[in-house]
Amino acid sequence: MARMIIAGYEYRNEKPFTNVYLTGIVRDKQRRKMSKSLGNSPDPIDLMETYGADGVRVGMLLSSPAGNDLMFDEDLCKQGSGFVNKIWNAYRLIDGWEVCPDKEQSQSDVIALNWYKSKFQKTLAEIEDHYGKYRISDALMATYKLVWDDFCSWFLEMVKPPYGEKIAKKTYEEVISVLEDNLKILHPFVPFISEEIWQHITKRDTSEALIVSEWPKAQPFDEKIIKNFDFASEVISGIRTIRKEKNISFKDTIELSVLNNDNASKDFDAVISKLGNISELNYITEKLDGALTFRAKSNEYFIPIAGAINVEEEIAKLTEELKYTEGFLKSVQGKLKNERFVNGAPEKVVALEKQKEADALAKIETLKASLAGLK
Amino acid sequence: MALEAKYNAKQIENKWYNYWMENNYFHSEVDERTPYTIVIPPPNVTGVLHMGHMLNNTLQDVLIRRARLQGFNACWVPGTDHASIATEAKVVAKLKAEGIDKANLSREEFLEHAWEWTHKHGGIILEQLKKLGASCDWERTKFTMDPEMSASVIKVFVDLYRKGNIYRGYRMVNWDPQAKTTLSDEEVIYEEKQGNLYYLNYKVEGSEDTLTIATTRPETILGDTAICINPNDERFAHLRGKKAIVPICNRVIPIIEDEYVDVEFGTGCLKVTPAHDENDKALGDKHNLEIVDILNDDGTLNSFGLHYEGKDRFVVRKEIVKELEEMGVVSKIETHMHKVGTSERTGAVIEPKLSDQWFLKMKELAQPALDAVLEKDVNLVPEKFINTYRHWMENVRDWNISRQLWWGQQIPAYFYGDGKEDFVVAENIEEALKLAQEKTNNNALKTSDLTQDPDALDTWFSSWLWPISVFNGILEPDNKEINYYYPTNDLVTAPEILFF
Repeated sequence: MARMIIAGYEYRNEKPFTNVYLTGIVRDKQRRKMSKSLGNSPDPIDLMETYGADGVRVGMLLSSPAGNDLMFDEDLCKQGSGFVNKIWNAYRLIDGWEVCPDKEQSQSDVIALNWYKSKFQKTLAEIEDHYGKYRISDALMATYKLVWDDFCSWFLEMVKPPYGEKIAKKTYEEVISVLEDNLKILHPFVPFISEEIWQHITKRDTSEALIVSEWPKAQPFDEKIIKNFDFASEVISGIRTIRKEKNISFKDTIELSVLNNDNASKDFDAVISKLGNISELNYITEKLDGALTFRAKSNEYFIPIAGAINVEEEIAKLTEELKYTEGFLKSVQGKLKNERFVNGAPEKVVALEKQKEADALAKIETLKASLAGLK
Repeated sequence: MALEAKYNAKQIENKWYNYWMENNYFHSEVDERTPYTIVIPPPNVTGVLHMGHMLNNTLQDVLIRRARLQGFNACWVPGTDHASIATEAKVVAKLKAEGIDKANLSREEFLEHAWEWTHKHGGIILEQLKKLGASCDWERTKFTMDPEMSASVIKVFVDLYRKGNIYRGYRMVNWDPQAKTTLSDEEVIYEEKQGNLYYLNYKVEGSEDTLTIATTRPETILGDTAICINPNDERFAHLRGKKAIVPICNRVIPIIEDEYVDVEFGTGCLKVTPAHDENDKALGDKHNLEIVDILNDDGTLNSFGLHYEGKDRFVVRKEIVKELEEMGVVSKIETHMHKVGTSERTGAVIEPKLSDQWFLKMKELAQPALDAVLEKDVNLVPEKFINTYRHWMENVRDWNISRQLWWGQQIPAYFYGDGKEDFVVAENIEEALKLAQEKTNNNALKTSDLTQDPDALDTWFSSWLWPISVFNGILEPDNKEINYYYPTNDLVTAPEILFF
């Protein structure tokens, strides 16, 4: 490399290249350099057979900041091919939707699309910055998170037509358009699957292949909508947690009341309602009694119990749990009253028992409060 | 078309790679767009893909595919280098397995075998890169021994020789006794090894006195031609002007004085073996000492080794210690950690050896390349490598570019006599003849009177031109390709390659 620069100046009076990207050395998990004699190097061809070239490409870049050694582990390639499958399944989902030409775009579709377009632009700016500084692994990670978390886990959920329903044509077309932008920024990392999906979307002639298409243009984006979504996603997670804890099936609608202390934006209410399966979203000024509750920032959310859960069953469940916890507390306290135990056992063991006692007392209090709310 | 539930990577990858190839998307021609150029750091022609290549080439493909999408005229030039020492070693081993000794072959016969080997095993690595999805412009594939690539190398050698940058020198070089060739400093890997430090007593001529020297290489005492003491070292005032006797060979050698000897280090008496140690060579030059080379090219001892002649240096080390112990001249043996240079290619312990080799003066040439990096005209990413680069460039030594190998570009120096200076340097034998006739004032000289230097050039003497020669910028410095694609954008490589 140094000699190439020397020859460049001697024979062209000019540098041979502008940037020299020095990669790390590929090592094994024990930090040993990979070598034939150590036999610790996987055969790259075998890896590509197993995980696909796209999967191995992603695997190689997942942890390779410039100049730092890459501790190679086959799991990285597994993760790479997992990403490829995620992209594939996302496309299968979209491809399976039935389009309805006359259907109006729903409010949640509109807000979801606006949000994702902004999120895409924000990430694109980050990606450009990473590329500009030759942080290729970081550019991959930003792309990976955008596609996996924002696109697959959030966006597609938001625009997914309810079971048995069709998707509005306008929404579908816009979904395809953002998908195409995704494919463009994915292409350098996973050229094969990106071209496959690109060509499956519609028939394209040879001048329209993804490999020679156009990198997305940077556009101004709405920071506020991204912030508002982040807040909404917290609310949705809160609802999901309550549903899980209380065994409320996602098929059953629930009501949600909001004490909007934060004066949070209502833009995402349609999305919250859709992803939370909320029948009615009310803004209230007083706390609601006898409801399940959670917080997002300083906003308080209430889910009335009536209708949401079977009160009888819940009381029985809580009573049972209270009984068990009280019994547990008794046995722990019995131990702690035993002087021979307290004086004889190692300090750590005693401390552990005291912690158990404290935990049990706290739990009993919560259970009692929950029961009081139900009665 | 219904989508498969499971993504079939292999089938889909083949399909699209073929489609891209059929539609020539990887190919670049000079046009009005801005170019984005990457030249592959050429891998060994007969090598196979390893994990380092995978990382490296994935990065290059990511950069070039993005550039293509951004609308640049993206051009990624692939190719391989001839890997002089590695390939020659493989061919020699293969011939040996077939019962053929390289020594019994003419240069032409050997090269035929080497080309056959190259055609058979060459380019596998490039096919493997296609599996990875590498979007190289395969129509531009180059090999460092392609005719125009070799012609570029020869042209540059002649040019640098005529500018006074290349010279022939009798110098201490790194000798690989297994490959039987010299190596550049960068091809030597230093390893920390445990050895012994032997304290040996030499008789002082004409007295009952002895002096003690310490050495890690007792076999080389047979090449000693002086003992050196520091003139300020009062302990050895009585030795001034005297002579010492080397055990076993009983050679009488002068005791010289030089402040180079560290009074605090070792015994204060230094054995001087100009043929087998670089520092000793410098002392020898200064004090006009005799040079006694005790080794053959394969690391066995020659006739100066007396009864050890024909035995390997490491065998002799054991045996000579035994003999010296029996003679009672070993005063003590200590274990000792020291750095041992080994060959990057063969792993053999490197022997410092004096021989006639070709060198390229580096100091002056390196200056613009050093400035370019310090001024960030060339960016090293990450920047932590700038200091390493600076240190190397500021301390760069002349580059030994000749190799005692046949696989590579043969040095274009033609000898017309037996004298060390009886040669001319020219791009071909016709030109050489003309120059030789002029130089000797002898018009009767014929091409048959000329003998070309048998050595080949270091592979890096080809590779260093790569970003220029792949666009034929050496032979035709003003062609439209080199003017368009050069300077290239990125070079992606492993840090080990920094100094090559």
